[in-house]
Amino acid sequence: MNERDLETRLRDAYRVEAGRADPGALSERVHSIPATVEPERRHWWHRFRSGATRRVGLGRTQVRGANSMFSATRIAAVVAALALGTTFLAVQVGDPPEAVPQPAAPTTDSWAIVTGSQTLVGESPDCWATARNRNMSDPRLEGDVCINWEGDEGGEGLATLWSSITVTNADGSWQGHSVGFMDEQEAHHHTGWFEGHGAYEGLAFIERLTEANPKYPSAGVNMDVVGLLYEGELPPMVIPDWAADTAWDAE
Amino acid sequence: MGVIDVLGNQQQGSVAEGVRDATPEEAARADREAAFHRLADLHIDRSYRLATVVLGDRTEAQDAVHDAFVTAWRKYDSLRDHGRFVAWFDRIVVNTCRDRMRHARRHVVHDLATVPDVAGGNPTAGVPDEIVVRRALQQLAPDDRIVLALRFYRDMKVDDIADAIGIRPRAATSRLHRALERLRRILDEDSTEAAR
Repeated sequence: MNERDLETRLRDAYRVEAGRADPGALSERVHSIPATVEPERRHWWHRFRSGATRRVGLGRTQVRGANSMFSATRIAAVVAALALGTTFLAVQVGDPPEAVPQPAAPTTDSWAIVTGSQTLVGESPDCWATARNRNMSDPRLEGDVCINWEGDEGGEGLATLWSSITVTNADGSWQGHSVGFMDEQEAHHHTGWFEGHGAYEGLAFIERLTEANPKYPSAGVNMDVVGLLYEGELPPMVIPDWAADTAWDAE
Repeated sequence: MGVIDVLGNQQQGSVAEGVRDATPEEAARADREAAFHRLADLHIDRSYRLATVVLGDRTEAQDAVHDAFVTAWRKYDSLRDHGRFVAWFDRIVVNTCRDRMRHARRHVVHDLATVPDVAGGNPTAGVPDEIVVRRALQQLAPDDRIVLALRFYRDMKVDDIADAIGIRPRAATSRLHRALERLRRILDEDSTEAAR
């Protein structure tokens, strides 16, 4: 049997098989799926200033220009933050579950570990995401949260996310950025780093945020927060002197 | 206007019919459902026929396509480029068929209406050739059955086959060649057996 004969027999067999196939009641079964199956992935929508509601940044590629968060200073801050084992945030919309407050003693020290929690939602016309129920052990980190973020999606729940964030209260504000990712369970892992302004001038805050209950079916992202508030600037970029290291090794 | 245009307009057109006062989330959900129903209508038939030729069993094919649509509905938001829905969904269907072939019951349930009575004697005597080929296909590994169906039922190019099953084009070419050889060997053996 030559190859052409084989392919012809195969095509004929497929044609007969497919010709007998009748979806029948399958269509009805398939159309009932939305009524019985909850979408696995939560909705990534936000309202723009115009009032339009659209899917949030996922799917767009960030153009990394001169004002990019990926400047040397920012990268250094990320490296430093990661070294400290910290992380940060993301977004969502809808009616969120209540965040669970983290017990911790309030402090006003210049160096202090701060814990807390918040629920991220996407409900503000000025911010792609805000936080409800922000409850921090240090009141200096309390306030209104405004997040504008971007991200790229890799399928199967995986995504990178990065953002600009402000936290504002009556005494001052924290301005910073975050970078992070979503894992295969769509759980968020983020690191944020902030500079203090107003009453918080001269202070910095590096935080790690992880999603408290990523499988929660409702919209909203419950985040557990732990971070270091300290007096000083965000870490500078580390530029290793490889030549010097080599010389040192040679000695 | 193509499917993508329809869906794109729906998704960016803010509010779905009948939910004018709905919240953005409710409107989004309604739009999502409308898009799903539209896509189901467009693709259910071709997906079912592909699953049927891959699995060789209509009941299994119905379940596989249903499961594929469940997956598509659940993961729809992970589809970054809606213009690639067809390729994305084809991959889901193929993966679902592969899983069912690997984990489903070992014995194949033949459709009695299409399988002649061959009790006793030559197993291929008087049997329509498509049944002979179908039996031979069912002796192949799941990946072989998939690659043959995509090539000779769907008439897909090797690059598209590679994309659908998530391998490199060169690997797809090799797999296609091996699958054809295996099928030829099985058919030749059956033919030799029938000649005795």
